[in-house]
Amino acid sequence: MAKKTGLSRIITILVLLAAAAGILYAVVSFNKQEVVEMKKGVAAPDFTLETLDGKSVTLSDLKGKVVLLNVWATWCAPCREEMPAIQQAYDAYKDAGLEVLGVNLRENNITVKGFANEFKLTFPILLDKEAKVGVDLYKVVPIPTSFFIDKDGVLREIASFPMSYEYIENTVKPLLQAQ
Amino acid sequence: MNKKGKRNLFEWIWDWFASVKVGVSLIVIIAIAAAIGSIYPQVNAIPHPNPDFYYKDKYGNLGALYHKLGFSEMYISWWFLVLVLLLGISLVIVSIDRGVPLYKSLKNQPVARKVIGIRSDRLYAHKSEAQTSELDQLGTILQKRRYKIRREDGALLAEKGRFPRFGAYVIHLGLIIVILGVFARLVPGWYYDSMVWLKEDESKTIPEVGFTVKNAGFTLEYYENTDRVKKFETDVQVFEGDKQTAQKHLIVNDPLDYNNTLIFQNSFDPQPMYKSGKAVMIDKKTQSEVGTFEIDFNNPEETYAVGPYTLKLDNYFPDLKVDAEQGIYTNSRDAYNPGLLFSITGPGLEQASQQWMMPGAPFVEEMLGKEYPFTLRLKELEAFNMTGLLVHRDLGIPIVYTGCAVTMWGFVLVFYFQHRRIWARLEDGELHIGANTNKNWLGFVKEFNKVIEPLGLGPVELKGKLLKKSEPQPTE
Repeated sequence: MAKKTGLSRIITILVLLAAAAGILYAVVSFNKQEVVEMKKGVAAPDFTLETLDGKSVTLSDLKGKVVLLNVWATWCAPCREEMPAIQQAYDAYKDAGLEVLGVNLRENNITVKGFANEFKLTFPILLDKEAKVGVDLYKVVPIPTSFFIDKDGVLREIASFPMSYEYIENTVKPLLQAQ
Repeated sequence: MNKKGKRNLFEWIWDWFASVKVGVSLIVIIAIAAAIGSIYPQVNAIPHPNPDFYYKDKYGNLGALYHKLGFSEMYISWWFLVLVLLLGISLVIVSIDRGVPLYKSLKNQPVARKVIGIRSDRLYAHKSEAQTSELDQLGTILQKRRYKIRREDGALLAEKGRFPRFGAYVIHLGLIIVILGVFARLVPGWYYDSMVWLKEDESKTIPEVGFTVKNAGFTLEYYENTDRVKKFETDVQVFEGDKQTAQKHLIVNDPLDYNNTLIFQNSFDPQPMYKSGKAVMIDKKTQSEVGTFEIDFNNPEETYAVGPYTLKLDNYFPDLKVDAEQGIYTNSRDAYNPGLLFSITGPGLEQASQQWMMPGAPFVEEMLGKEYPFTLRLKELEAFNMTGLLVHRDLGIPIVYTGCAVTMWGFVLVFYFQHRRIWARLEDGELHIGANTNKNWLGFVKEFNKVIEPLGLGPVELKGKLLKKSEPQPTE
């Protein structure tokens, strides 16, 4: 009788402690909001978007080129800050095989066009009207965020801060030189 | 069952949790922690995104220390939760440790007690030259008083209110249910609490609750000639997929209850947004109207034809700001303060005349526009305010309420009901009647005397002191 009681007590204690540990674990993971972000080294998700000029651009068509995918908006001050550097890098490395895609998040064409004229942007500006590419596909949280995609379409670097010309240059150069 | 000194780990754990001292200590520590946690608002309730700054700024050094020590996130801190869980385990183990033996002993209690035991009961009566018929009579009387009667040869046990003896364990059960109810929000989909901001006709899907909320119209009224808000109301619609499944005219404090989720009218954006407007173009020289055109502020046209003139929209800033460092820019993508830069071509203009239209900033426009050949003014405007709805779901709440009700029931059992037992034994022609209760002796004495009266007995008095030690003793 005593032996049996002892066993049922052990089981009770174990069940209760396991339940408590399970609850505690659930609380900890509940409070830790899951952050989904893109990882380096994976194939950059493919997409097709319309440009400001009414053309359509598909990422996979650009294989063989190094692609700088910049997600931005006109109302974002750091985006305005880095825009001249991006344009400068595009001018410098366009002929060496760099393609820049500026993905604008959810803005109207006039505003985007006015901005492109103001900053004299010559690279293609893609209109992501419903943020399907920027937010849904590339999981961008802060803007600007830039993705560096190598010639094989693999994501090599992610920059979620306003980039300097030097940073872009240093990141793009080795990708352009890679065979 | 517990041999002192030779306990293994599990026995030690069991005894620790079963200890009343431990249980009370846990309750006291939790109560103190909970009280400390309510001195300043918790992090999730402060109106500032940066708690490090907020506590120092609002409550000074004490506030900063409070935040640094982690009291500002008390109720989700691991140690607070550990305390609550320990209390939960303690409640279960205490209930098993004490409740089960009590249940067993009451279930197995003998009907026939030894006469010497009955004699020493605090309430005792006896009758000599008694018959079995008198034992039967006693049984009948007690049965009428809703006692449960058990009989054996020459012995009787009458019992009333056994369950209230377990009142304390009912309280334990209630508290355990409350704890489970609080933790129930961890079940995916059981808890959601968030603001949803909706523009006019905008809808947002909330995957956590599985439906889409749409703002089908928002009204905002002020008291006349003041900026005090009179009322703000939203026509809200709920969609599952493409199908509308519910709708309600939401006013403050009257939520839509849909699928165990409450949708409250919570707030609104006091700054209106431009939606559309009819603009008029006036020739400054002649002060005559050239014509009108419609502007959609969310998606303006590239060109507008007004009379003989063509207005090309060179640039559009939905939320225009001017800054010495940054120049002219838009602060958001919402049309709070639109700025439109037109190039006007047409008769009498040798080259395109560029001019700003800023319906929300007439001073700036006037300053810039001294040389403008035209005046561009909004004649009619449709604006709207963004509505702020609170979507709240907590399926644990009914469980918490159930737990509270069970706890209350337990308290009622503990305070207002008694376990009364009466034993009778016929031995050698003498009838011995003894009685016991766990509280309210005064009431029980009255009942006992009523019960034995038909047998020609009593009234008897209670042996020993009626007053408890803690109560003031009468001076003699």
